[in-house]
Amino acid sequence: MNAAQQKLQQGALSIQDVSKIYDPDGTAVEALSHCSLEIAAGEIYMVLGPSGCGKTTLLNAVAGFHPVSSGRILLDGEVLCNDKTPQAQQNSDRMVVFQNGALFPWKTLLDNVSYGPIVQKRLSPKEAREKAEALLREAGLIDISHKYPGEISSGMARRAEIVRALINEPKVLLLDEPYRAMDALTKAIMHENLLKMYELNPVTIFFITHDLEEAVFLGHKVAIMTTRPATVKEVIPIDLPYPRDHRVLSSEPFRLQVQRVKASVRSEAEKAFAAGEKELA
Amino acid sequence: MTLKIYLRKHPGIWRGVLSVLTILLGWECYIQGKIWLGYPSQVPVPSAILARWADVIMEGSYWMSWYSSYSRVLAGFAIAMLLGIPFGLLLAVNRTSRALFFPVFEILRPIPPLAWVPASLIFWPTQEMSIIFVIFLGSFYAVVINVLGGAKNVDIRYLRAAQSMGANQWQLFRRVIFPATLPSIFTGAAVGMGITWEVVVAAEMIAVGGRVYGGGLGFFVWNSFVGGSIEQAVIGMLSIGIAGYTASSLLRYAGRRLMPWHTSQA
Ligand SMILES: Nc1ncnc2c1ncn2[C@@H]1O[C@H](COP(=O)(O)OP(=O)(O)OP(=O)(O)O)[C@@H](O)[C@H]1O
Ligand SMILES: [Mg+2]
Repeated sequence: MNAAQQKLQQGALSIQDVSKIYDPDGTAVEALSHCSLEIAAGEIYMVLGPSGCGKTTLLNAVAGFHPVSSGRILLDGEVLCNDKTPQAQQNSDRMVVFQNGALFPWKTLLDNVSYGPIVQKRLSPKEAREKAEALLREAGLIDISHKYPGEISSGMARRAEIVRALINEPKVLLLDEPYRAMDALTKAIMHENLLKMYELNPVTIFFITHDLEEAVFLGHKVAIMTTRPATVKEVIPIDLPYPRDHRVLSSEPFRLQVQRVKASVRSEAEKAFAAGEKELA
Repeated sequence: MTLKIYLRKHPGIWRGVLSVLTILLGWECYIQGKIWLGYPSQVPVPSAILARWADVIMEGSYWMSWYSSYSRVLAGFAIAMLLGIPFGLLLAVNRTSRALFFPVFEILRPIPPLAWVPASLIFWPTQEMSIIFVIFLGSFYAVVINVLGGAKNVDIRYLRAAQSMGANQWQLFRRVIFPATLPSIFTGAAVGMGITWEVVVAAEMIAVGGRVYGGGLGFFVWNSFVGGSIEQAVIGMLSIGIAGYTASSLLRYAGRRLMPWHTSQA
């Protein structure tokens, strides 16, 4: 347990036996089958699975974007959804950073970030702006805080989106492949930045990815999902000390951890390939 | 000085001026050459048109035509925006109203605005109102269709993000759906504005018979033709072109001001 985690008592996420079938009366696509995950407060929890297996489906259920077909999800012991109320309430205690980025294009970075506390009336517009500036400075974005999302790189946009989520002081940060389609070098920079933001603003992180090295580099734990319908195949704790930086990537322990995860993931990837699931971006 | 800097920043202006001058010169040379070779020509030459224009701009009736057409266009267009934007948004967010109004809308839409002129003349108490009504119809459909399309296709991730941050229904509408739809609103406005000029000219030719004052540019063209002045008819045509261009430019300017984030302008 690191310092960041110890500060946290909130943000334990418990996913219990969750299944999800899309369009049960029609085509009946089974996306999740009896998924269970126990995520401790302040943990960086990586969910690794082949493309199309149902990762986003699981994240959307936690966020309250759609109902589950069965099972329940708890946050700090409180029921978010179960068989009686299958769809969780959307709430700022669980903030999502979306697969392709969803900053509002019509707001500057500063206005994007200060939006949450203002609509919730948690802070006055002036206070919200000051807090947003402080967080943007932390993330190295203060110099471009007056730009629109369309004017900046996708890496910067994704950082800003994480800041926009963090300002709401969520208990859980839900990240849906935020660095998909970025080149390896940019990804490495984004990873270090995310870990830095995490140290400064500890929070439970639920991170979806299909990138093995990303999972090992960032996570306390990596949950490996099966091909669709997704269920949890194995949870592998990653035994590498924080703070981690790019040097970890070339170390022997890192390589061994990657080997271990790769062995577990490989058979699933082959099954996904055989099933003809869409290629990764 | 400032003009000089402005022109240096916008080299497109020079090119525009050059292309217009080239066309005028080519036109002039072709017609003058034809006459010089002994062929008769009905087509007026730019030099004669410009000379006539210099006289025309001294006449109050010419400017009155501008004023009449422009105020009709703006009135019809403004009403189309005022009714069309909320109507389009309503159709987009409310299923019941879509089921209720959309079929009627779709049946009325294919009727060309000019087909409404006779009915409109009977229905509205004044000729002026009938013309404005027809102009309104011309742009209303374009505005509604674009607003509806834009508002229905708002990316669900924006809505989810705002909802997670705690936005209520009204805030979602005001702060997400509306700005996300603005580009489509301006597309609809630009298309609608184009149609209003087509409609106003035709409506003035049909409907305002005999009124030199307040006849508008459409009547100006027709009246010049009937009066045997082809030069003046061409002046009327070019005036309509310029009027339409200024109206569209104003709209684009407003679009850039209202949507600073939107770089690719419709
Ligand atoms: N609304 C829906 N209706 C029917 N099927 C759906 C729906 N959304 C997703 N699916 C299907 O459910 C499966 C899981 O989708 P999901 O988006 O959760 O996968 P994923 O693991 O996030 O994939 P990716 O790596 O492509 O992001 C896919 O086969 C997908 O086609
Ligand atoms: Mg996904």
